[in-house]
Amino acid sequence: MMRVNASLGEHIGVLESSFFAHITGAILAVFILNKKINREFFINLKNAPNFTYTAGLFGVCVVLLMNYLVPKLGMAVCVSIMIANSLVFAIIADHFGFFGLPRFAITKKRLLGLAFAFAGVFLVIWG
Amino acid sequence: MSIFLILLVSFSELLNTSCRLINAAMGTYVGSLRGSFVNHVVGTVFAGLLLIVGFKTGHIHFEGIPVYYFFGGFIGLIVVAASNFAVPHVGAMLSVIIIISSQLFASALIDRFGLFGGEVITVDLFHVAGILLLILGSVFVFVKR
Repeated sequence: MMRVNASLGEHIGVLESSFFAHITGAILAVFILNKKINREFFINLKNAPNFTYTAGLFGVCVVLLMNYLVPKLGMAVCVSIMIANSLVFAIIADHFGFFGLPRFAITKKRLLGLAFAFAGVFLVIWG
Repeated sequence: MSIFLILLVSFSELLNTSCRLINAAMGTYVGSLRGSFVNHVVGTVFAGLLLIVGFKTGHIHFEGIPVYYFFGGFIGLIVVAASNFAVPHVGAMLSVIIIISSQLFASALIDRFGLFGGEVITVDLFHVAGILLLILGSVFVFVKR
């Protein structure tokens, strides 16, 4: 998906590509959900806190940035950095129990895993 | 390779994580697929407004572009639907590791063969070793915390 969006971005521009990525996703969702977009859905939607609507804003920026970056760096480099990042975030989020989730303290094993992952990113980028 | 670009990828992934977590919060109210639907609608409106008020990074045209390039958004939706279906059967931990591994291998294949309109980037043993290290690292992080 990142590669396809980025290729479209090279043709028509990164923001334009981000627009198409979102509108096609929304259209497919309408087809999959079909009758599940009913009154109950809109009632539940009203109960959802306002900040939960901002995910789409972040999404547009992410697709836009990746459209710019993927052609410059290649997929393997981008995906490697993203995954190493997520591991760091997962460990920190677990350690402090973000979002009311259960806490898992940082362990030596987890730090070792992180070290492996960073060595991996290093190899993918500069190997 | 420019450090700036590497930091930009990291920043983008931070935004991505925030996006997914916020969307998960929405998902607890309306269900994850419908949450993703709302996410895409808001994104469409936001990007559409930016385009309408005159932000331009290129120009929209359709000639000479493979049709499937325009349907990248389909894949994102299918990912949400597929993981809704599969994660309860496979278990969260194993799912994370399978997703990470397949993303890494897929990205290396896409680079190696220049799939989907990308440039061909050679993948050598160092890259493969790097990918294996990343997978080993994620196993250490996620298995039996």
